[in-house]
Amino acid sequence: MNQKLALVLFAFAFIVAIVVGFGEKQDLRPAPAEFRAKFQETLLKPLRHADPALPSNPPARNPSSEHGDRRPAGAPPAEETGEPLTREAFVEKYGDRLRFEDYENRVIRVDGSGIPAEGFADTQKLDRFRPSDATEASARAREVFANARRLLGIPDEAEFIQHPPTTGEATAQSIFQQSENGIPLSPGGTVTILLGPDGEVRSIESSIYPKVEVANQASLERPEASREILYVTQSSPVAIVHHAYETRDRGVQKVVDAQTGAVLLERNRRVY
Amino acid sequence: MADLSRPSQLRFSFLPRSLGALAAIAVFASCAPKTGVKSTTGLAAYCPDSVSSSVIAGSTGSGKVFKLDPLVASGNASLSPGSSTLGNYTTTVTLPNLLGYGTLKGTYVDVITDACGESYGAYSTTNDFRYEHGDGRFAEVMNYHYGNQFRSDLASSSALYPSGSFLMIANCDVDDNAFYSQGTDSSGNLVDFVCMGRSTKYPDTTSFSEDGEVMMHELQHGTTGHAYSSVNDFNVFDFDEAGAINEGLSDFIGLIQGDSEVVSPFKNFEFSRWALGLLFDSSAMRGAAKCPVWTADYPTCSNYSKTPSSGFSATGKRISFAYPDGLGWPYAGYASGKNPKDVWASDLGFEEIHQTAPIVTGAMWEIYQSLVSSSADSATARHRAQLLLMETIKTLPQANASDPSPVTMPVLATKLNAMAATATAGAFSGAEQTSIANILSARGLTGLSSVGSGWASVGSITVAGHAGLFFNETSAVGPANNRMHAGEKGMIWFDIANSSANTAAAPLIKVTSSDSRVTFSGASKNPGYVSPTVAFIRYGKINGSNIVNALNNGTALDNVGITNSYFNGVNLYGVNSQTALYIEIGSGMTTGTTFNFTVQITPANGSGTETLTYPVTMQ
Repeated sequence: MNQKLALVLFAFAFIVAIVVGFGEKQDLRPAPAEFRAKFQETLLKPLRHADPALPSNPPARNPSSEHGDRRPAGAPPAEETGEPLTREAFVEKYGDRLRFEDYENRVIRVDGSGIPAEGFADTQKLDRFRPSDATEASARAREVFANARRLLGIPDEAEFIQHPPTTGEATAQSIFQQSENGIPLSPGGTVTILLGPDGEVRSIESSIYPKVEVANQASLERPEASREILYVTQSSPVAIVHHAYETRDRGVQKVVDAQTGAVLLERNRRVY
Repeated sequence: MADLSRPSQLRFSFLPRSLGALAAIAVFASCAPKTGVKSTTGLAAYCPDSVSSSVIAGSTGSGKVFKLDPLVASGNASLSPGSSTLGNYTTTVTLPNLLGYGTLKGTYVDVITDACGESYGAYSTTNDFRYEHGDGRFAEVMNYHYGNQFRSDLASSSALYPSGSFLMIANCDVDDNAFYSQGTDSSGNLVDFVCMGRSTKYPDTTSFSEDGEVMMHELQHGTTGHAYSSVNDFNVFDFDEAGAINEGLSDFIGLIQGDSEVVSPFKNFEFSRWALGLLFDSSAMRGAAKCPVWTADYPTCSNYSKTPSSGFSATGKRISFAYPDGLGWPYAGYASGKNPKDVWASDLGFEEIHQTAPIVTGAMWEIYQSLVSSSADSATARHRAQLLLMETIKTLPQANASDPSPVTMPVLATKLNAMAATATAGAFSGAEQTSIANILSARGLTGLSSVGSGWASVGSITVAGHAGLFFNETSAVGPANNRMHAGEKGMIWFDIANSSANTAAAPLIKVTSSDSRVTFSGASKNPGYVSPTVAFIRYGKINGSNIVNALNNGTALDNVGITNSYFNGVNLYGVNSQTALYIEIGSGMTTGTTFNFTVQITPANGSGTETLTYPVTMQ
């Protein structure tokens, strides 16, 4: 008897739902927050004819990390990249007209932007290199980066994420981001390599931190619409970094401590 | 010695009289709208109930726009932003590169509106977007038209950065301004967007979306940032030369993109004659001419010279937009024939990055004009200029431990010459390379006269007993009297004197506190923060005697009154928080305690770094 009553009530409710629910014009529009996320995700997907190098979805999450860290691009196989070179060997391989700028016994800048094409020997270029090809640009940049590590004062144990390159008809820019367990340091901690049309080194710019101390642990849950970073609260003589979550609300950047929730940085990043 | 002991005149009397001033103030305003959490009430009546998630229309549509801006569209230089006749001057245009969802989402730009809760407003299953001027969706069409035009042209120049569709927010929730920035999506990924705001002076008749040059200006900020780095910031300090370059390049792009549409009587080298020119109490327009609008020889600027003694004059009321001495003079906003002394006295934005931009804008414009004369047509010249520029931006130096703000105007000029010579950004003939080099030199951006060793000394101005140093309390213990007390927080500037005949350009300042109890506030306050006792900042310039003499060459009635020290040479210091360093004084710093600030100064045109010591006695 109860089963029959339940069946009748269910049928009645179903009919009411149809009449009320579908008889009126429904607002099918998703809530603004959902809509925003939706179109922004669409925005981040590559267009059919877009440069394959962009846009830059982050690397996959690393399930083995206790913080769910992003998996670092990591050091590629040695045979692909080569070994760190001395300055003499680097110059011989990449260009004897490259200019070096030093700071505290390490190179912070290599400049070849003013060298004409003929200023690089054939051995300092790559045959059939295409700066518009993300794969080629990334591979060449990894080679340069590996060869330059010692010059840049990068400790052996230091870890870097390689961002997707910004490619172009004439040049390709690759950025290696210093990280700890896959979490990027920010701001700074980058090695930026600019390659010319023939794969020659046009510039290397370094803002790496030779010594890093992590000051806290991430114990708070990562808020929605944020990314986890190791925020650099002091850059010298030792870089002190905090696990933190970064958001940007219409250009207003906010970084909060991932352990205490304290605001470490709040800054208007709008460019008018 | 100047009388600078009246703090009431120095403390934040930075009244917004220009867009740049508004921008500066916005840094401290808590007016940022929240995204994604708006109520669905209050949406415009035209907001669609739903939009298609599949392709329902073709790739081409039509819409109504102003050709560049209402002034150019009408040909009427007297047209008022409050006019009820603006709608008479629209033109129907083709909207290409649509993705076919019935919205203004295309290959190059994706236009939404705050009038519909940060979502799509314009919607047509037939891609018919011909809205009248009084319809809020008109602004969306303007964004699509000029956003698509600009970014597709960048693609044609092999200079499109970033490569995806760029988000544009029409009818954006911001007053009297427009900007580029980044937000985060639900996963924390950065998303670029531009926000085209509304006019509070003419809210019923116009908005910033009705000025095509402003839209392309904001989009170029995104292009500049991405060409420079996908990770690192182009501007580091609020008032560094990278910021001025960023603004100058965006103005330049607006000019060359609008060049073919400008008609008589309007000048193709004047930027934003509508939004900046007319939507404020006085004109904040900028441009590429060699002298300000308010000087007698504008627009020919026949008296222009980078040499101070001939390009600048108090009695001749002459100003030249030459580096570095011409930095900071406002482009417009004053009546023709205005005395430089009066402009100096009333204008407080001499280091503000929009106001210091015209030298870069002008040099780039002249390079473009040169390429027009040597190229097949103006479109070819524009493409060549855009590729040259974006490839040059890629080669600009990145911040490092030695210099957190390495992009200066002389560096940009050097890199432009180098890029033109390497053929990396296309082939430039020998004559073209020479022309580019000559233009940059004529603007003072290359071949700078340097300041010799020993040029810097502690300035003579003493404020409240602190020699060469101005302290402005933000958190006072007792009365705010510019005297340092234990437990106080505040802002400091250093008076630096220049004994050279030449102006010290864009000096990078590294400051070290000798006492660990006097510390710099963190990076929220000090973008150049290194550690508790070390921080960087960059000043605009420190005058040499040549420019001081040129601007004081007449009677007391005409003489500008500037000197060769920072405190009385660039601006009314102290009103300008963007060049301050923020400090905190520990509780143990009792009266009579002494310590030093060591200031290392590296100008863009110096032979090295000068080191000065500023002793401080707690009061």
